[in-house]
Amino acid sequence: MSVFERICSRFCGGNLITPVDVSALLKTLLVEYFSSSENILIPALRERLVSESNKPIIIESSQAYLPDSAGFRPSILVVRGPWQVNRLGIGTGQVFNSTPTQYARTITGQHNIVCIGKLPTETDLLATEVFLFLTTIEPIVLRTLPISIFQAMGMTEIKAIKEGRDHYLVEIPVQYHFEIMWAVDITGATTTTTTTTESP
Amino acid sequence: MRGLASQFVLGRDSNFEYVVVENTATGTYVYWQPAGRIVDPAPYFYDIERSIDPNGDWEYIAQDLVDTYYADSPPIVSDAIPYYYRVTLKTTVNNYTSAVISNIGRPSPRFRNAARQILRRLQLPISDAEAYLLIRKIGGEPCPDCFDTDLRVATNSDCTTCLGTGRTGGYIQMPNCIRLIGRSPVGIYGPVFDVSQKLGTLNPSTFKTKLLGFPIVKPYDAIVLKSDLRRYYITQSVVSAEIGSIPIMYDAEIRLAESNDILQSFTLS
Repeated sequence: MSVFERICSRFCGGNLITPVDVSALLKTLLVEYFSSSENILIPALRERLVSESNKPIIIESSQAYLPDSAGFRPSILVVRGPWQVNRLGIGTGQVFNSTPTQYARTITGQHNIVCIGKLPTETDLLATEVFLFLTTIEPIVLRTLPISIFQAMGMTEIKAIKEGRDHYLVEIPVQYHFEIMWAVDITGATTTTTTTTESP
Repeated sequence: MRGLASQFVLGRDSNFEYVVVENTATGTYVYWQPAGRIVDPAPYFYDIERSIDPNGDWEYIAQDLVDTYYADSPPIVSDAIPYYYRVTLKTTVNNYTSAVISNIGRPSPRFRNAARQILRRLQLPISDAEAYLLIRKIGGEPCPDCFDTDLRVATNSDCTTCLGTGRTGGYIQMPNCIRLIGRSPVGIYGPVFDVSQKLGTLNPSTFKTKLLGFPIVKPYDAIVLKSDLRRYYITQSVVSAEIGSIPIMYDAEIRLAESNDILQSFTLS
Protein backbone atom coordinates (compact mmCIF):
# COMPACT_ATOMS: atom_id res chain seq x y z
CA MET A 1 0.00 0.00 0.00
CA SER A 2 1.47 3.34 -1.03
CA VAL A 3 1.66 6.25 1.36
CA PHE A 4 -1.03 8.02 -0.61
CA GLU A 5 -3.34 4.98 -0.48
CA ARG A 6 -2.78 4.69 3.24
CA ILE A 7 -3.66 8.30 3.88
CA CYS A 8 -6.68 8.02 1.59
CA SER A 9 -7.98 5.10 3.63
CA ARG A 10 -8.50 7.49 6.54
CA PHE A 11 -11.09 9.32 4.47
CA CYS A 12 -12.90 6.47 2.79
CA GLY A 13 -15.31 3.76 3.86
CA GLY A 14 -17.70 6.17 5.55
CA ASN A 15 -15.13 7.35 8.09
CA LEU A 16 -15.67 10.71 9.68
CA ILE A 17 -13.39 13.43 8.40
CA THR A 18 -11.76 15.38 11.20
CA PRO A 19 -9.29 18.28 11.14
CA VAL A 20 -6.64 15.81 12.25
CA ASP A 21 -7.20 13.72 9.11
CA VAL A 22 -6.81 16.75 6.89
CA SER A 23 -3.62 17.77 8.72
CA ALA A 24 -2.28 14.25 8.24
CA LEU A 25 -3.19 14.33 4.54
CA LEU A 26 -1.44 17.64 3.94
CA LYS A 27 1.65 16.68 5.90
CA THR A 28 1.94 13.33 4.11
CA LEU A 29 1.50 14.89 0.69
CA LEU A 30 4.15 17.52 1.40
CA VAL A 31 6.67 15.04 2.82
CA GLU A 32 6.21 12.77 -0.19
CA TYR A 33 6.55 15.70 -2.55
CA PHE A 34 9.77 16.99 -1.00
CA SER A 35 11.36 13.54 -0.96
CA SER A 36 12.12 13.47 -4.69
CA SER A 37 14.05 16.07 -6.66
CA GLU A 38 12.02 15.17 -9.76
CA ASN A 39 8.97 16.76 -8.18
CA ILE A 40 10.53 20.06 -7.28
CA LEU A 41 10.08 22.89 -9.76
CA ILE A 42 12.36 25.56 -8.27
CA PRO A 43 16.02 24.60 -8.77
CA ALA A 44 17.16 26.34 -5.56
CA LEU A 45 15.06 23.87 -3.55
CA ARG A 46 16.19 20.66 -5.24
CA GLU A 47 18.99 20.12 -2.74
CA ARG A 48 16.57 20.21 0.17
CA LEU A 49 15.29 16.68 -0.13
CA VAL A 50 13.56 15.25 2.89
CA SER A 51 14.31 11.71 3.97
CA GLU A 52 13.95 9.73 7.19
CA SER A 53 17.51 10.57 8.23
CA ASN A 54 17.99 14.01 6.70
CA LYS A 55 15.50 16.83 7.08
CA PRO A 56 16.75 20.08 5.55
CA ILE A 57 13.14 21.22 5.61
CA ILE A 58 11.01 20.44 8.64
CA ILE A 59 7.51 19.42 7.55
CA GLU A 60 5.28 18.92 10.55
CA SER A 61 1.97 19.63 12.14
CA SER A 62 2.08 22.79 14.22
CA GLN A 63 0.52 20.75 17.02
CA ALA A 64 3.48 18.41 17.32
CA TYR A 65 5.91 18.88 20.20
CA LEU A 66 9.29 17.99 18.71
CA PRO A 67 12.17 19.11 20.96
CA ASP A 68 14.78 17.55 18.68
CA SER A 69 13.96 19.97 15.89
CA ALA A 70 12.92 22.97 17.98
CA GLY A 71 13.28 26.14 15.97
CA PHE A 72 14.68 24.41 12.89
CA ARG A 73 14.11 26.40 9.77
CA PRO A 74 13.15 26.41 6.95
CA SER A 75 9.99 24.62 7.82
CA ILE A 76 6.53 23.93 6.49
CA LEU A 77 3.94 23.74 9.22
CA VAL A 78 0.42 22.45 8.80
CA VAL A 79 -1.90 24.61 10.88
CA ARG A 80 -5.57 23.85 11.33
CA GLY A 81 -7.85 26.76 10.46
CA PRO A 82 -11.56 27.43 10.99
CA TRP A 83 -14.37 25.05 10.06
CA GLN A 84 -17.82 26.23 9.10
CA VAL A 85 -21.05 24.39 8.46
CA ASN A 86 -23.35 25.30 5.57
CA ARG A 87 -26.99 24.27 5.46
CA LEU A 88 -28.18 22.65 2.26
CA GLY A 89 -31.63 23.06 0.71
CA ILE A 90 -34.48 24.52 2.71
CA GLY A 91 -35.76 23.97 6.24
CA THR A 92 -33.68 21.54 8.21
CA GLY A 93 -31.69 20.36 5.23
CA GLN A 94 -33.71 17.21 4.96
CA VAL A 95 -32.95 14.81 2.11
CA PHE A 96 -36.09 14.48 0.03
CA ASN A 97 -37.91 11.16 0.24
CA SER A 98 -35.28 9.46 2.38
CA THR A 99 -36.32 6.74 4.78
CA PRO A 100 -35.39 6.96 7.59
CA THR A 101 -35.20 10.72 7.20
CA GLN A 102 -31.72 11.90 6.40
CA TYR A 103 -30.21 15.34 6.75
CA ALA A 104 -27.26 16.89 5.00
CA ARG A 105 -24.77 19.70 5.47
CA THR A 106 -21.55 20.78 3.83
CA ILE A 107 -18.52 21.56 5.90
CA THR A 108 -16.14 24.22 4.67
CA GLY A 109 -12.78 23.82 6.31
CA GLN A 110 -9.50 25.59 6.08
CA HIS A 111 -5.94 24.64 6.87
CA ASN A 112 -3.04 27.06 6.62
CA ILE A 113 0.30 25.93 5.35
CA VAL A 114 2.87 28.14 7.08
CA CYS A 115 6.21 28.37 5.31
CA ILE A 116 9.00 29.81 7.49
CA GLY A 117 12.49 30.55 6.24
CA LYS A 118 15.60 32.36 7.38
CA LEU A 119 15.77 34.63 4.37
CA PRO A 120 12.91 36.52 2.71
CA THR A 121 13.73 35.23 -0.77
CA GLU A 122 14.12 31.68 0.45
CA THR A 123 10.74 31.88 2.16
CA ASP A 124 9.13 33.23 -0.99
CA LEU A 125 10.58 30.43 -3.10
CA LEU A 126 9.55 27.76 -0.60
CA ALA A 127 6.01 29.11 -0.35
CA THR A 128 5.72 29.30 -4.13
CA GLU A 129 6.80 25.69 -4.49
CA VAL A 130 4.25 24.58 -1.90
CA PHE A 131 1.52 26.70 -3.44
CA LEU A 132 2.15 25.31 -6.92
CA PHE A 133 2.22 21.76 -5.58
CA LEU A 134 -1.08 22.13 -3.75
CA THR A 135 -2.63 23.68 -6.84
CA THR A 136 -1.46 20.90 -9.14
CA ILE A 137 -2.44 18.08 -6.76
CA GLU A 138 -6.04 19.34 -6.61
CA PRO A 139 -7.48 17.08 -9.37
CA ILE A 140 -5.95 13.97 -7.76
CA VAL A 141 -7.32 14.83 -4.33
CA LEU A 142 -10.79 15.47 -5.71
CA ARG A 143 -10.74 12.26 -7.74
CA THR A 144 -9.54 10.11 -4.87
CA LEU A 145 -11.03 11.49 -1.69
CA PRO A 146 -14.61 12.26 -0.64
CA ILE A 147 -13.92 15.98 -0.86
CA SER A 148 -15.78 18.19 -3.31
CA ILE A 149 -13.52 21.24 -3.29
CA PHE A 150 -9.82 21.39 -2.45
CA GLN A 151 -8.08 24.59 -3.28
CA ALA A 152 -4.95 26.48 -2.33
CA MET A 153 -6.40 29.96 -2.13
CA GLY A 154 -3.22 31.98 -2.57
CA MET A 155 -0.25 33.22 -0.59
CA THR A 156 -0.15 35.93 2.04
CA GLU A 157 2.42 38.70 2.01
CA ILE A 158 5.72 37.94 3.67
CA LYS A 159 5.96 38.77 7.39
CA ALA A 160 8.95 38.95 9.70
CA ILE A 161 8.83 36.94 12.91
CA LYS A 162 11.07 37.33 15.91
CA GLU A 163 13.05 34.14 16.05
CA GLY A 164 16.55 33.10 15.06
CA ARG A 165 18.29 35.81 13.07
CA ASP A 166 14.84 37.20 12.20
CA HIS A 167 12.83 34.74 10.19
CA TYR A 168 10.10 35.19 7.61
CA LEU A 169 6.71 33.64 7.16
CA VAL A 170 4.23 33.15 4.33
CA GLU A 171 0.87 31.45 4.79
CA ILE A 172 -1.01 29.47 2.18
CA PRO A 173 -4.69 28.98 3.07
CA VAL A 174 -6.11 25.73 1.73
CA GLN A 175 -9.89 25.45 1.61
CA TYR A 176 -11.89 22.26 1.23
CA HIS A 177 -15.53 21.24 1.26
CA PHE A 178 -17.16 17.94 1.98
CA GLU A 179 -20.68 16.80 2.75
CA ILE A 180 -22.03 14.96 5.73
CA MET A 181 -25.37 13.13 5.91
CA TRP A 182 -27.04 11.64 8.92
CA ALA A 183 -30.25 10.25 10.25
CA VAL A 184 -31.52 10.75 13.75
CA ASP A 185 -33.62 8.20 15.58
CA ILE A 186 -34.98 9.94 18.65
CA THR A 187 -36.74 6.87 20.02
CA GLY A 188 -33.73 4.64 19.78
CA ALA A 189 -31.42 7.52 20.75
CA THR A 190 -28.94 6.63 18.00
CA THR A 191 -27.40 8.77 15.29
CA THR A 192 -25.83 7.51 12.11
CA THR A 193 -23.50 9.82 10.24
CA THR A 194 -21.93 9.17 6.87
CA THR A 195 -19.67 11.22 4.70
CA THR A 196 -20.26 11.28 0.99
CA THR A 197 -19.45 13.21 -2.11
CA GLU A 198 -22.81 12.39 -3.65
CA SER A 199 -25.38 15.14 -3.82
CA PRO A 200 -28.20 14.45 -1.41
CA MET B 1 39.71 46.97 29.32
CA ARG B 2 39.97 46.69 25.60
CA GLY B 3 38.46 49.50 23.66
CA LEU B 4 39.63 52.20 26.06
CA ALA B 5 43.26 51.52 25.36
CA SER B 6 42.60 51.54 21.68
CA GLN B 7 42.56 54.20 19.08
CA PHE B 8 40.44 53.86 16.05
CA VAL B 9 39.31 55.85 13.15
CA LEU B 10 36.29 55.05 11.08
CA GLY B 11 36.07 55.73 7.43
CA ARG B 12 33.22 55.35 5.01
CA ASP B 13 32.95 56.24 1.38
CA SER B 14 31.17 55.05 -1.72
CA ASN B 15 33.53 52.10 -2.19
CA PHE B 16 33.71 50.81 1.38
CA GLU B 17 31.17 50.31 4.13
CA TYR B 18 33.93 51.06 6.58
CA VAL B 19 37.66 51.01 7.01
CA VAL B 20 38.90 50.89 10.57
CA VAL B 21 42.40 51.32 11.90
CA GLU B 22 42.72 50.28 15.52
CA ASN B 23 45.78 50.61 17.74
CA THR B 24 45.74 48.06 20.53
CA ALA B 25 48.21 46.65 22.99
CA THR B 26 48.78 43.73 20.63
CA GLY B 27 49.28 45.72 17.44
CA THR B 28 47.61 47.87 14.86
CA TYR B 29 44.70 46.29 13.06
CA VAL B 30 43.23 47.47 9.80
CA TYR B 31 39.90 46.00 8.77
CA TRP B 32 37.33 46.89 6.22
CA GLN B 33 34.27 45.82 4.28
CA PRO B 34 33.69 46.69 0.64
CA ALA B 35 30.40 48.35 -0.20
CA GLY B 36 27.45 46.05 -0.73
CA ARG B 37 26.69 47.71 -4.06
CA ILE B 38 29.79 46.09 -5.58
CA VAL B 39 28.76 42.75 -7.06
CA ASP B 40 31.62 42.18 -9.50
CA PRO B 41 32.41 38.51 -10.05
CA ALA B 42 35.08 36.83 -7.91
CA PRO B 43 37.95 36.86 -7.13
CA TYR B 44 38.46 39.89 -4.90
CA PHE B 45 41.93 40.95 -3.74
CA TYR B 46 42.95 43.79 -1.48
CA ASP B 47 46.06 45.99 -1.33
CA ILE B 48 46.91 48.00 1.78
CA GLU B 49 49.01 51.13 1.60
CA ARG B 50 50.53 53.18 4.41
CA SER B 51 52.07 56.62 4.52
CA ILE B 52 53.14 59.23 7.05
CA ASP B 53 51.81 61.96 4.79
CA PRO B 54 48.41 61.65 3.15
CA ASN B 55 49.67 63.74 0.25
CA GLY B 56 53.07 62.10 0.08
CA ASP B 57 54.39 58.75 -1.05
CA TRP B 58 52.46 55.60 -0.28
CA GLU B 59 54.04 52.29 0.58
CA TYR B 60 52.39 48.91 -0.01
CA ILE B 61 52.37 47.01 3.24
CA ALA B 62 50.29 44.10 1.93
CA GLN B 63 49.11 43.09 -1.49
CA ASP B 64 46.64 40.60 -2.92
CA LEU B 65 45.04 39.85 0.44
CA VAL B 66 41.95 37.67 0.44
CA ASP B 67 41.01 38.38 4.07
CA THR B 68 39.45 41.68 5.01
CA TYR B 69 41.71 42.49 7.91
CA TYR B 70 45.40 42.99 8.34
CA ALA B 71 47.62 43.16 11.41
CA ASP B 72 50.17 45.89 10.85
CA SER B 73 53.39 46.65 12.71
CA PRO B 74 54.14 50.31 12.09
CA PRO B 75 57.65 51.39 13.09
CA ILE B 76 56.46 53.73 15.86
CA VAL B 77 53.09 53.78 17.60
CA SER B 78 52.62 57.19 19.13
CA ASP B 79 50.00 59.88 19.31
CA ALA B 80 52.58 62.25 17.86
CA ILE B 81 53.16 60.33 14.64
CA PRO B 82 50.06 59.49 12.71
CA TYR B 83 50.05 56.90 10.00
CA TYR B 84 47.65 57.03 7.10
CA TYR B 85 46.16 54.01 5.42
CA ARG B 86 44.10 53.28 2.35
CA VAL B 87 42.70 50.06 0.98
CA THR B 88 42.18 49.12 -2.64
CA LEU B 89 39.79 46.40 -3.74
CA LYS B 90 40.83 44.78 -7.00
CA THR B 91 38.29 42.78 -8.98
CA THR B 92 38.36 41.49 -12.52
CA VAL B 93 36.21 44.46 -13.51
CA ASN B 94 37.56 47.45 -11.62
CA ASN B 95 39.69 48.80 -8.78
CA TYR B 96 38.05 50.56 -5.85
CA THR B 97 40.14 52.63 -3.45
CA SER B 98 39.00 53.76 -0.01
CA ALA B 99 39.30 57.21 1.49
CA VAL B 100 42.43 57.89 3.54
CA ILE B 101 42.22 56.78 7.17
CA SER B 102 44.51 57.75 10.02
CA ASN B 103 45.36 55.64 13.06
CA ILE B 104 45.23 58.66 15.38
CA GLY B 105 41.84 59.35 16.83
CA ARG B 106 42.39 59.39 20.57
CA PRO B 107 39.60 61.12 22.44
CA SER B 108 40.23 63.85 24.98
CA PRO B 109 41.12 63.00 28.63
CA ARG B 110 37.67 64.19 29.72
CA PHE B 111 35.96 61.77 27.37
CA ARG B 112 38.29 58.96 28.40
CA ASN B 113 37.50 59.51 32.09
CA ALA B 114 33.80 59.52 31.38
CA ALA B 115 34.14 56.26 29.51
CA ARG B 116 36.12 54.67 32.32
CA GLN B 117 33.40 55.60 34.78
CA ILE B 118 30.76 53.97 32.63
CA LEU B 119 32.77 50.82 32.24
CA ARG B 120 33.76 50.58 35.92
CA ARG B 121 30.13 50.76 36.91
CA LEU B 122 29.43 47.85 34.61
CA GLN B 123 32.15 45.77 36.18
CA LEU B 124 30.41 45.84 39.56
CA PRO B 125 27.69 43.34 38.88
CA ILE B 126 26.84 40.77 37.43
CA SER B 127 27.83 38.22 34.89
CA ASP B 128 30.25 38.60 32.09
CA ALA B 129 31.69 36.46 29.36
CA GLU B 130 34.12 36.76 26.51
CA ALA B 131 33.10 36.05 22.98
CA TYR B 132 34.49 35.93 19.50
CA LEU B 133 32.82 38.41 17.20
CA LEU B 134 31.88 37.28 13.71
CA ILE B 135 31.17 40.22 11.44
CA ARG B 136 28.64 39.40 8.76
CA LYS B 137 29.95 40.31 5.33
CA ILE B 138 28.01 43.09 3.68
CA GLY B 139 30.24 43.32 0.65
CA GLY B 140 32.78 41.06 -0.95
CA GLU B 141 32.66 38.27 -3.47
CA PRO B 142 29.06 37.37 -4.35
CA CYS B 143 28.25 33.76 -3.56
CA PRO B 144 28.54 31.73 -6.79
CA ASP B 145 25.96 29.22 -5.55
CA CYS B 146 22.99 31.17 -4.22
CA PHE B 147 23.39 34.92 -4.85
CA ASP B 148 20.77 36.49 -7.09
CA THR B 149 22.74 39.27 -8.79
CA ASP B 150 19.62 41.06 -10.02
CA LEU B 151 18.06 41.27 -6.57
CA ARG B 152 21.39 41.27 -4.70
CA VAL B 153 20.10 38.76 -2.19
CA ALA B 154 20.98 35.27 -1.03
CA THR B 155 18.42 32.60 -1.75
CA ASN B 156 19.67 29.73 0.41
CA SER B 157 20.03 30.20 4.16
CA ASP B 158 21.97 26.94 4.47
CA CYS B 159 24.44 27.62 1.67
CA THR B 160 27.82 26.23 2.70
CA THR B 161 29.66 28.78 0.54
CA CYS B 162 28.21 31.98 1.99
CA LEU B 163 26.45 30.74 5.17
CA GLY B 164 23.27 32.41 4.00
CA THR B 165 24.79 35.89 3.69
CA GLY B 166 25.18 36.04 -0.10
CA ARG B 167 28.91 36.79 0.20
CA THR B 168 31.53 34.08 -0.04
CA GLY B 169 32.79 33.07 3.38
CA GLY B 170 29.85 34.66 5.14
CA TYR B 171 31.56 36.06 8.22
CA ILE B 172 34.87 37.53 9.28
CA GLN B 173 36.21 36.55 12.67
CA MET B 174 37.69 39.59 14.38
CA PRO B 175 41.14 39.08 15.87
CA ASN B 176 40.21 40.09 19.43
CA CYS B 177 37.37 39.08 21.72
CA ILE B 178 34.52 41.26 22.91
CA ARG B 179 32.88 41.16 26.35
CA LEU B 180 29.26 40.49 27.17
CA ILE B 181 27.79 41.82 30.40
CA GLY B 182 24.32 40.87 31.54
CA ARG B 183 22.21 40.53 34.65
CA SER B 184 22.18 36.77 34.29
CA PRO B 185 24.46 34.28 32.58
CA VAL B 186 23.87 33.73 28.91
CA GLY B 187 22.53 30.24 28.56
CA ILE B 188 19.82 28.38 26.74
CA TYR B 189 16.21 27.65 27.46
CA GLY B 190 14.67 24.30 26.81
CA PRO B 191 12.38 23.86 23.85
CA VAL B 192 8.80 25.04 24.26
CA PHE B 193 5.58 24.33 22.46
CA ASP B 194 4.13 27.36 20.71
CA VAL B 195 0.75 27.72 22.38
CA SER B 196 -0.62 29.66 19.42
CA GLN B 197 -0.04 26.42 17.47
CA LYS B 198 1.32 28.27 14.52
CA LEU B 199 5.08 28.01 14.76
CA GLY B 200 5.57 24.47 16.04
CA THR B 201 8.23 23.72 18.65
CA LEU B 202 10.50 26.64 19.44
CA ASN B 203 13.71 27.38 21.23
CA PRO B 204 13.24 30.95 22.43
CA SER B 205 16.73 31.57 23.82
CA THR B 206 16.88 35.35 23.55
CA PHE B 207 19.04 37.47 25.84
CA LYS B 208 19.65 41.12 26.52
CA THR B 209 23.25 41.96 27.08
CA LYS B 210 25.73 44.77 26.93
CA LEU B 211 28.59 44.37 24.50
CA LEU B 212 31.84 46.11 25.25
CA GLY B 213 34.56 46.72 22.78
CA PHE B 214 35.18 47.39 19.23
CA PRO B 215 34.55 47.25 16.31
CA ILE B 216 31.10 48.29 15.22
CA VAL B 217 28.56 45.68 16.17
CA LYS B 218 25.57 45.40 13.87
CA PRO B 219 22.44 43.29 13.79
CA TYR B 220 23.04 40.01 11.92
CA ASP B 221 26.61 39.81 13.14
CA ALA B 222 27.21 36.81 15.35
CA ILE B 223 29.10 35.92 18.48
CA VAL B 224 30.61 32.70 19.73
CA LEU B 225 30.98 32.36 23.49
CA LYS B 226 34.56 31.56 24.35
CA SER B 227 33.58 29.35 27.27
CA ASP B 228 31.46 26.79 25.46
CA LEU B 229 31.49 27.89 21.80
CA ARG B 230 27.73 28.38 21.69
CA ARG B 231 26.77 30.61 18.79
CA TYR B 232 24.33 33.49 18.85
CA TYR B 233 23.02 35.95 16.32
CA ILE B 234 22.98 39.60 17.30
CA THR B 235 19.46 40.68 16.44
CA GLN B 236 19.49 44.20 17.88
CA SER B 237 22.28 46.55 18.76
CA VAL B 238 22.07 50.13 19.94
CA VAL B 239 25.06 52.23 20.96
CA SER B 240 24.48 53.09 24.61
CA ALA B 241 27.77 54.84 25.35
CA GLU B 242 30.28 56.52 23.15
CA ILE B 243 33.31 58.71 23.52
CA GLY B 244 34.07 61.27 20.89
CA SER B 245 31.53 59.66 18.55
CA ILE B 246 33.26 56.31 18.93
CA PRO B 247 31.03 53.59 20.36
CA ILE B 248 32.35 51.80 23.43
CA MET B 249 29.26 49.96 24.56
CA TYR B 250 26.16 48.50 22.95
CA ASP B 251 22.83 47.34 24.32
CA ALA B 252 22.22 44.24 22.30
CA GLU B 253 19.78 41.39 21.93
CA ILE B 254 21.24 38.03 21.03
CA ARG B 255 19.47 34.83 20.03
CA LEU B 256 20.83 31.32 20.10
CA ALA B 257 21.43 29.82 16.67
CA GLU B 258 19.66 26.49 16.30
CA SER B 259 21.77 23.36 16.44
CA ASN B 260 21.34 22.77 12.71
CA ASP B 261 22.02 26.39 11.77
CA ILE B 262 24.65 26.96 9.14
CA LEU B 263 26.44 29.30 11.55
CA GLN B 264 27.56 26.19 13.44
CA SER B 265 29.71 25.25 10.46
CA PHE B 266 31.80 28.43 10.62
CA THR B 267 35.34 27.40 11.51
CA LEU B 268 36.97 29.56 14.18
CA SER B 269 40.59 30.45 13.71
